[in-house]
Amino acid sequence: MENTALVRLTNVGYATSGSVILDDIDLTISGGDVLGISGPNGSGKTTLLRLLATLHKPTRGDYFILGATPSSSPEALLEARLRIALIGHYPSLWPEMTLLENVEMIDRLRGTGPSSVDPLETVGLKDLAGWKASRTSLGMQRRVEFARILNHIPRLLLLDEPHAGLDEAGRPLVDHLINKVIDQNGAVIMVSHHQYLVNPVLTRRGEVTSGTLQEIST
Amino acid sequence: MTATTFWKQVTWVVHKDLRVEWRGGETLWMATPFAALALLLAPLATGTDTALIRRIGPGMLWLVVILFGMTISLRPGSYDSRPVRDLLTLNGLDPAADYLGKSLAGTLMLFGVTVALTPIMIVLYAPQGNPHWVGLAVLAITGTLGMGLLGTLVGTLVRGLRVRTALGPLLAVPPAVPVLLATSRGTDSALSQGSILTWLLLLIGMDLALIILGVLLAGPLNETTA
Amino acid sequence: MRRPTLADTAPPKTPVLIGAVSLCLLVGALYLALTAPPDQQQGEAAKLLFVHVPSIITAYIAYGIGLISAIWYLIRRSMAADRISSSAIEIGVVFTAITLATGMIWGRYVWGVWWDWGDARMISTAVLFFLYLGYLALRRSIQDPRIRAGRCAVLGIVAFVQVPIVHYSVLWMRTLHQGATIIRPDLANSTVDSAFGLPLGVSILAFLSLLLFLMSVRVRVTSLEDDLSRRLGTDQPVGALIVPPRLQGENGG
Repeated sequence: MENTALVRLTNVGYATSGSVILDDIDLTISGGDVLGISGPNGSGKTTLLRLLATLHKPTRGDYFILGATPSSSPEALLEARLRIALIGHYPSLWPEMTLLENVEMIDRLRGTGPSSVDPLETVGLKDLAGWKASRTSLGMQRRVEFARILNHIPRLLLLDEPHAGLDEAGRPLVDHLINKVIDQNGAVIMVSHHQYLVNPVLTRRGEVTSGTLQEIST
Repeated sequence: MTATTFWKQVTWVVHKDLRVEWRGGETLWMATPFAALALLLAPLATGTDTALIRRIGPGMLWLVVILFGMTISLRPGSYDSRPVRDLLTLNGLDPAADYLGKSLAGTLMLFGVTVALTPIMIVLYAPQGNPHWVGLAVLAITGTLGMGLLGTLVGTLVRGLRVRTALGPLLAVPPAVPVLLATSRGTDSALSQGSILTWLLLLIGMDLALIILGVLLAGPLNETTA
Repeated sequence: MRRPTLADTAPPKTPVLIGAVSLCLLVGALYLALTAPPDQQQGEAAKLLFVHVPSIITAYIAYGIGLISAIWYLIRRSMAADRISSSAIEIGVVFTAITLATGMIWGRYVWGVWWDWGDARMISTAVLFFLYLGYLALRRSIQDPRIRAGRCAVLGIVAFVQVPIVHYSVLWMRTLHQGATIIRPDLANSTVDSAFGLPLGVSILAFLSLLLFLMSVRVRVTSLEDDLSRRLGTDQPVGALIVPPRLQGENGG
């Protein structure tokens, strides 16, 4: 079943400034997979997500991420990147722009027109569309990031503690987004605390300890 | 990627940077008055000898534009935060388009500052001569473009470093010496109806070199995210 | 991991050999320079030429090596190329400083001023000095070896391309705006008579071999430094070193 794998990491390691962050990661992700990852502070969870997002290049090992490989062309890398979305620790909003502009700028960069459904309405921020991002809370900014992704459902969605800052009402948005990706045969990898990893939407669970990934059988 | 989307990305970056600067505006609206203040102070330091002041006016204008303009090129608003840069990378922004767009946005701001400071310089220094306005405008455009390109390149080199506010000008000003000479000496020539062609060619050569280098090196530079 | 032994820090044979050769050449050049007859116009001051000219030639060659190895780094991502590039530029800055110092001393002696604004070459050399001083400053400010290597390679290339642009702009400032250039002695253009040719040639050779020697030492020192930081570091993943907080008074802890 080689061709259905979206992601394949073989013996992947990452080191920086002489210190090893990740060591010997083997991972295969196929369409429909929702992998939840936990692990103690500093174990390398965020670095693993950045490797999967092609934002860091592994310092050893072999990888295949939506067609991007260590020797792939810039075009193939770009193809892969356009189908990856990452929600990281810190919100990726321009503080000087309004919430609506923050969504629209990305649409314009990708060259897509406005969608039929207003994504800010879906995430419950329609009435605050004209607010500058600098006036809003972390949870609201998270919702704006979700709204951006709703306009371009990725093949591979990477979430780094997406529940952080979200209130009770906002939390179901995470599952909504995951389901949207799975509906289109994509895959999701979510780093989170144990409490969110009991979620039935997850199909696989793993733990990063001392730089290696261990899958927990469910 | 096709050529049209490359230039669309360039205009997208110009649009974004100008909007962020317009809203935040911290540097532009502080650098310009401060530069005007420097124009007022310089004759106090050299002594208010009218003949001398008349002669140094155009040179002072360009010195001030280069020193204070570098702080505009290296403005905080031109640094996208790391999460934003990740977002742009994943949404397919070409690093070369980013470089050109940022440089053009910087150039527009620097040109605006130059235009704003010119009447102040004329009032304070009363330079003599019969200016060739078209020649001066072309000098100003090619000169500010060189500074915009240099500022963006250096801004990327010092991105994320703790010492970037001190290091940026040290890196950006020495290579801007040709811009200072070409604009100030060229302005002198234009005021006395002399030829500015040599200076113009120098600036165009430098702009082209920085465009080619910046586009070629944008990819490797983008990998060094700190 | 093997423990370092004394043999690891002993210099290899080749740099010692180059060092010996450059020492001989330097002694020879010094002898020839001191015994050369004084210049008719400038007297003994003209002998600064034997340091001034070789040092600027060496500096340009060092920056050229810096450029080529910077390009090599960007193609191959080889840390050896980064070491060669940075060592060459570092030494180039030292030789540029020597050029400026000897030029200023000479100017004081012959023209009566330390700094002469009529000398385009001195002005552009001073700008060159600051250009590459910035390179050294950038290098010091970045900790991560790969980020440092990448950014410094880019700056090494950009700086080198700026050198001729700076040089011509300063040159044109002098020639376009002075009615007629005053004819007067100029250090780098001193008429090289036959008595000066030999010591100058030997001196250039001596400086170039000195560049090779200093580079081989510098490259070796940086590679030993990298080695040391690797040995002081750990093979264990960082995550394994972080343990749960030890809270006093809880569970008898």
